[in-house]
Amino acid sequence: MKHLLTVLLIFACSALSNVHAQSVNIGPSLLDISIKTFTANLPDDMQLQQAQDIYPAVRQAESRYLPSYLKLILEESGLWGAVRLLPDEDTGAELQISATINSSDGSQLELAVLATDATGRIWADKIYTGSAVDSVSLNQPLLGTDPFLYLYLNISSDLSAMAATLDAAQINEIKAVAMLQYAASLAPEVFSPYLSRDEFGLYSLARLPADNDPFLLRVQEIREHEYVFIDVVDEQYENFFVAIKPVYDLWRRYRREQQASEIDKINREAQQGNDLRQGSYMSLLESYNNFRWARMQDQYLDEISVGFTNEILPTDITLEDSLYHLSGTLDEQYQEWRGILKELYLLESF
Amino acid sequence: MISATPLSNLTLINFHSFRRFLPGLLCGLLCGLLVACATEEPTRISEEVSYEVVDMSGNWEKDYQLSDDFDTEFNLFIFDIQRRLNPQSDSLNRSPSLSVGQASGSRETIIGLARFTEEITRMPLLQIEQDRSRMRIDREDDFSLLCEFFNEQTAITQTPFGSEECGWNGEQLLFQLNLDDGLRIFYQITLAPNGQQLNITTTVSSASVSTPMTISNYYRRYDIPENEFDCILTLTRNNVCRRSSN
Repeated sequence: MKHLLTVLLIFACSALSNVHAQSVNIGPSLLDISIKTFTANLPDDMQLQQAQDIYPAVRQAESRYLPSYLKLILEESGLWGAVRLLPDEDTGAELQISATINSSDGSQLELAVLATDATGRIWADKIYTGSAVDSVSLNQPLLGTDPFLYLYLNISSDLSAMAATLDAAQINEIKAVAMLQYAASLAPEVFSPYLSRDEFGLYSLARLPADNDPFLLRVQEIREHEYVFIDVVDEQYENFFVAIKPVYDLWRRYRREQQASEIDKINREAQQGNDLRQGSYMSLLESYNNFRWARMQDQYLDEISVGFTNEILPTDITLEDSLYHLSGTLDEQYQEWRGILKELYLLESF
Repeated sequence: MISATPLSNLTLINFHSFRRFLPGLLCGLLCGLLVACATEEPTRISEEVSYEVVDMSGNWEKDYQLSDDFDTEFNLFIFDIQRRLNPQSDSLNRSPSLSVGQASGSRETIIGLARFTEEITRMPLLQIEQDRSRMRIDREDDFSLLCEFFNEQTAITQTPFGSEECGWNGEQLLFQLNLDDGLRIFYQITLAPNGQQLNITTTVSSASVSTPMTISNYYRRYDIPENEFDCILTLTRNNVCRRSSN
């Protein structure tokens, strides 16, 4: 019943505003981008997490925060159509971006990024590494203050360079293949024949359905309903991003300061040497105090990670709760929503 | 940076060998006290870890009456060094002096080791937090000793200035710090059977002195008044507190 109400509500919204559907058909040839939340790359083994200085709560938050920032950068470039952040891969994505967080410690960020369009053409399969730059500012509070702005700009730049190599026909083919792939995911027996796949795994159009094909029109309508859901999800990710940004920025700053402090301490100790007599009280005390300093630094980091978790937890719960009304987690719910749409298509079609 | 090695690989200092000069009467008295107090079993934590560990959590204050007197221990330490140098001598009948040779360490390093040991074993108050996989021993004016229990393995924390190992040996929790200058500190923490008394035996050795020094301290539980505020640490607002619901 709850699902039915939700579906009806979204249908009503969709009927009132069908602007998006029209823009797909007649809008400019800008590709839409679907970004999947990043893979956290969190080792199951707690010892490994500690060995790699990975704080699970932070990494989990990063898997949502970092793609949110990439989304903002891509939107800001003005080179793309809709840029959406999703908990899973988008079956009908025109350009799908996924990434794994290889490492993130406040000073360095390394992302393994894969961007593929609907035809299977790889736009980027690359590891992006960036060092934190504190002074970055573009006078835009959300966009300009990220210490890894240049890393995201590199991703954006690579994607736009790739887009520039494609002509309008190729862009339109990507769009058409994306729609047919989405259609084929709902009704494979009807739409799969429209697509062909070569020996390299690349998809192309075998033929096109008629513009007024009732099946295709129905699929487009279903797709629009899905966009309504995705926009809700997207808004929640954006709220999450805005809410945790100050906390995450502070966390990264503390981590950078702690790392700089450690490097400084090691260098200072190496330069000073040890003039104290080995085994003397002062020498033993210095050894102990150095170790105490290192351990207190570690413990300070542990404490601020607790502070980070305490502070983002309510936001994290809000993100999950806000869409929990369907059922399950955000990821599960997205899958469930896809299932509902597929059923809806089948009901309406046959 | 933490990694793990089997417990059997942990290099432990056999602290018992350094305590043979402790007055038998004192040992007997302490053992008697521990046995006499054994009216109830200490709490055990058995979930999530595949073996049982003793629950040492709580607030502990030093029991100065039971704990080693530093001056006495210092004398025993010197006797031990002299005895090692000259096993035939009746060292117990001599007044302690520092007429020791280079083989066992210089006067400066021997006194340095003793002074350092005295300093790090003061620890008047301890607060121990423990759950099923972790123990944290907060010490006044010093860093906390932390132990993550990875089943029956020891956890090793590496820093640029030394390493910290910990693990269980039966019902004893062991910490070993391996620091620069050949400095090694070994803590052996034991809870009395009644759970009301804690013993921390600290053995400190340095590469410059042939004999380690050992100090045994006893702690008893104390209660702290319940805080009327519940506080949580946050990054942007520091501690955020609200009045306890109790």
